[in-house]
Amino acid sequence: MIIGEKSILDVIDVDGLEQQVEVLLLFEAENKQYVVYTKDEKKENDLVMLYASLVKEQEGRIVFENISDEEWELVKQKMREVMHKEGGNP
Amino acid sequence: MPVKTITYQETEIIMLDNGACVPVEQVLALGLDPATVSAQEYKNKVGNAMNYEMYRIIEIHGKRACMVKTAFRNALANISNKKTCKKISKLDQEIQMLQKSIAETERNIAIAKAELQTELEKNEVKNTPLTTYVKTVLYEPTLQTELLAYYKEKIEELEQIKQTIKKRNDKKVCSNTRKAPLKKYKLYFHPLQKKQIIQDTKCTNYNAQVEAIPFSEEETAYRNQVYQIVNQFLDVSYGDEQGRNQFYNLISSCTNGYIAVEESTKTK
Repeated sequence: MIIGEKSILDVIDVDGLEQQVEVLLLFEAENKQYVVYTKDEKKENDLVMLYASLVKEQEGRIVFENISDEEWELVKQKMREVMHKEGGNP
Repeated sequence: MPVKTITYQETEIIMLDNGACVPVEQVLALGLDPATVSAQEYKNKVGNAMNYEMYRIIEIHGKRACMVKTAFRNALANISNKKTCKKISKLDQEIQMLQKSIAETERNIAIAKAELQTELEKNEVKNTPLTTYVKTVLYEPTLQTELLAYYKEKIEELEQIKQTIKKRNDKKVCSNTRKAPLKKYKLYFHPLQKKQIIQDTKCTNYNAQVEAIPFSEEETAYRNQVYQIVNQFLDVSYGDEQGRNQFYNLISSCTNGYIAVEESTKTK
């Protein structure tokens, strides 16, 4: 695992701005690590934004990279699976 | 010009003129004024001040997002929490069982020793061979002792796993409370000294004052770290913009944002 289990992480976005995100789900598939995280950006109707990325390590830095459509399906499937399996259905 | 100040996750942040939100402590650590800083100024500083050598940084390049119900988000977070709690509680159970086994083994050893002693005393009187006793009693404590060492080793191993899990959890707590040390430590610059930096002069006579109220071991260690950073700065003459950025960079990254760099109104 490139990064450990759930924690609050300091991240820097493409504009160089530092912010904190909460990692909600980390899993590995086909030797790749994926992460689902949130910046707790709340929207109307009690909705909150979740992001998904591929976790990579490059020159000692950890980088969250964009994922393909197929990978996005995989992440959504994993979220549903975890919620179902762990009885976390809200 | 910042348009407003809001509080987000216990960290005071300001919204810059391009709508970006940044922590006030970060703005201060970069030597910028939160009241007047523009997005461009901030970006220029941040771009120069990122020190990738000091700690591992996570960068985001593009992202895939979805909107979910807050309840879903919370449930997902709780699942991760529950998993960690389960792991620790399982380890605690295993440790408890091993501790019981240790107590039992120690009792057995004590009994075996007492029996051996009694038999030895009898044999001294009767002058009979000890073979039977050596076989049944003397060897047994040896095995029990080995068992005891094994249990102890196993407990140590489990305790280590527990500590690793706890440390991982504490990391979250630290992240959430990172604002706290800011109240205690401030690195003050005399106006003249600050002017000296701004005017691109040599900084060999630079004298930063660290004001601290440290009295726990941890706090003292932290203060020493700050002194070390300041000394590192004093050892080098930074006369240009790159040098100044390097200094701010050192302060902000070594102290992980725990320290505010401010201009002092105090006279030396």
